[in-house]
Amino acid sequence: MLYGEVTIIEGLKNRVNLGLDISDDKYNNFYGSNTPFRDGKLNSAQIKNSDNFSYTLENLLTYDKEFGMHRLNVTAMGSIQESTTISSRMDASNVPVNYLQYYNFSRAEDVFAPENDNNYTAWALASVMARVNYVYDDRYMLTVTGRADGSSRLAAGNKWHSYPALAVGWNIMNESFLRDVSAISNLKLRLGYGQTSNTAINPYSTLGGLSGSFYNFGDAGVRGYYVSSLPNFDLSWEFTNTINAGLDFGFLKGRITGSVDAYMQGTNNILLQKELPASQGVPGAYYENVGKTENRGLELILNGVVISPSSKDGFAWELNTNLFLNREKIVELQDPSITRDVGNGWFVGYPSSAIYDYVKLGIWQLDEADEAALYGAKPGDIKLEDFAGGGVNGDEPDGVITADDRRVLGSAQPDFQGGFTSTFRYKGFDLSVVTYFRVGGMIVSALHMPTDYVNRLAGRHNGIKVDYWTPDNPTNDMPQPNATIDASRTHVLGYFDGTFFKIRSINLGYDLNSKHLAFLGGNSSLRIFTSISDPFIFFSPYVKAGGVDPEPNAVNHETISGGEGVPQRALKIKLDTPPTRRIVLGVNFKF
Amino acid sequence: MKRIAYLALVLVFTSISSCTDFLEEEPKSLLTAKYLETPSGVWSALYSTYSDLRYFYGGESALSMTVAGTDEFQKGPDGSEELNLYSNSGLLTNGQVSSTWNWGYTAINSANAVLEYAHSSGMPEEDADLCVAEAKYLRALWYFLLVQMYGDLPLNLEFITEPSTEAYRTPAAEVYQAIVTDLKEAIDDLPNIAPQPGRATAAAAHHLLAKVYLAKATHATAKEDDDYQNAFNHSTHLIDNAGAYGLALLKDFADVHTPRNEHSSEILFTVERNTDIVSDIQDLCLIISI
Repeated sequence: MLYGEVTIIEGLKNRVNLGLDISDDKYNNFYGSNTPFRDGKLNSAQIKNSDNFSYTLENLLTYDKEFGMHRLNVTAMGSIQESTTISSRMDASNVPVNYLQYYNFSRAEDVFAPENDNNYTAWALASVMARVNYVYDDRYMLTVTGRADGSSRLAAGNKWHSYPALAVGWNIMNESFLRDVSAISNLKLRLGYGQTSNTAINPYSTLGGLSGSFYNFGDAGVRGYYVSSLPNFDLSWEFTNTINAGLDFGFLKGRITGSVDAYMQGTNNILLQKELPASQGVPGAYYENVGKTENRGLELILNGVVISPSSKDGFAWELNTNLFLNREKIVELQDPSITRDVGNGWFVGYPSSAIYDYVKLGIWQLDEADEAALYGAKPGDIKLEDFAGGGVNGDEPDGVITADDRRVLGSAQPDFQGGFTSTFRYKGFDLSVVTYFRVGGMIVSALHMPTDYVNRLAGRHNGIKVDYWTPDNPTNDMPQPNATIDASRTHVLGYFDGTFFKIRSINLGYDLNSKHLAFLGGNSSLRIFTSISDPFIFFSPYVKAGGVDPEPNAVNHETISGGEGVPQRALKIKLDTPPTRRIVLGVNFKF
Repeated sequence: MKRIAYLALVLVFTSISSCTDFLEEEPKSLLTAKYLETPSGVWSALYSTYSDLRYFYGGESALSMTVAGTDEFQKGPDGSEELNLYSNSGLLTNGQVSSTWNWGYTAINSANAVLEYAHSSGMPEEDADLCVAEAKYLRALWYFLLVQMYGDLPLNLEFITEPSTEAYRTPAAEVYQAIVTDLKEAIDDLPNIAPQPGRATAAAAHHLLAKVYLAKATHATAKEDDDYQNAFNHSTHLIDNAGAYGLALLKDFADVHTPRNEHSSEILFTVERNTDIVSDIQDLCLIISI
């Protein structure tokens, strides 16, 4: 990062920022024939290189001016950003002797350049922005921003998108009518409207492309090319309109402070891939600006000094709380006429993390054996609800559990969440308790799905402790242990209410009075502290069902194997990252 | 110092004003459809049209899709048995049903690219005529396969350059007309004897056209009075002129099916397989014989 700044006239400054990023990756390997990677097949070698060069250049012009009651700040910015990646890869097999490894491909029997990893990829962004910030008498604030962004990734003619932003603030506290009200120490109202945008697609997505195929006429090999993706001449920016309103407040000389914020966001022209009818003859999907989503939210922060210390060493108690909620929903899909896209797990009116699956009614019991048999099940199996597929409109039971018998069961979105932090101080001691809670939302526990071996209750290893069905234990919780259970319909066992209240951490510390350390010099200090993280979890249906920690550890991680139903965006609890509890003891000594 | 700042200012703002270039994409490692407008691009589109035949004739699709459940063929090593058992569950999700449709249209689009660009690409005129004739033969072959299996279907005779999410079915009678037209035009420019094994010939086109007339003759809406006569004409033409086409019946009928004898004089058209492949079964070319 380099910069230069110069004052042109008083109040007018010009600053140039230059950021550079250069990286060079090499990934070469050799696998011998008798290694697990090749398992007796021919040895293989690979040479892979990837170089990236990117830079950002920004030019900022700022002007500050105060005259009387007016304060003005003007900023103009122009910036460009460019990134170029060149990668290459060669694969070889049947290297005559192992010690050649990847050092001499000319000696390998077969050398070829694979379709992947041989790329030149460049993208560029350009922006111009102007912002005027005006304050009158520390009471009225106005910020007007105009901005235009250009992206190389979008179609010619649609590369630029310009958008405004407007923010107003009213510092009510500084009005004359409040100046004498001692109960209020801060009061400020904020309103804003703005737009943000997104161009996150792969470079060259609008150009279309060819894929290769091979053929031979007798012994003569030939290469063919066919159109595998079509160009899009209209692709444009995805953008989000945001309106927000907020109030900052402080009462009783700052003993109670906080803020309330409400926002509404609408995202339009979402960059999504769309499949073409196969009869177009082009197998690849293409990008389109389609769909709409909406987000609405409320955030509340409240801080209070419950007990204010009477002296420096007196007892003090501060409480900080926050509460927030967000409502996301899909307003429109690829095509306004469709309301659901089961393949992607998108449903109009529901969050994008919606969970769409069968409905578990319980477990088939012994006295329901005849009814269970109609569904190809037996007592001890999972009893799923059959509500669709039959009747004239397909909305009546049809006596088979089919893919139609699935519905939206919930989503990752909680009703609301928040936390409290309580801090106590007395003499040299300080104690803080941090809590966090979530109400509602659905979590997906891979542990409870027999797709993972831990809950198949088979084999000679430990499983998780669950209430499973036996003829003597007619529970409706978990099915009879079955090593060969059909995993495609057992996700339903892993859906839990995500509610919990958690003590995030307890921290206790003691600062030794510095006068006892005076003999070590002026600035000495000694602090002894201990903390424990995640010690208690309350009100969690998931913990009651044998889970350890209801907070997900696998968002956007690999999908759970064995069938549809669980979207990528779900809050997942898996085995790969176990929950931890940490206790720390420490001494901080300075002299 | 000031001068440097002004210079930087000028630099940044001029670079932004010339942004049209700055934001232009140059796909240096990608082939786009532009390539198909060149002579080598036309050839590559033609080769790709040939190559896609393997998706049908290379695996078991050709047998499963046409004669499964008969005494000719039941099921093979790929294990799919939905078509063989006439099971009602599989049609929509059956890989052979979708792959035949999907790759059929991909091949047709490649053939359309050849027809669109061959003559404007700058390739020698006789090459362009040959490419066009082969592409028409292959397009007719694909449409003939598809119309027999799927009935009315979208008839694309133009190269597709822009995405469209709409597709309409054309009546089978019109599809048959298009097939007949393609084959008649192909016959004129196709060579009697293939320059390389596996390339389309006039003999293959006569034979295919005879089959098309036979299929058409029994089709409820496509049939015409002279279909049988036309089938007879093309068949007898081929039989009577076998010598001119380098064709002759083998002495021993069984030799037609002898492995590695796919390029014998009794063979009209083959879908080629690379002989490098280890397994002998995959080695077999699929044969359309007299």
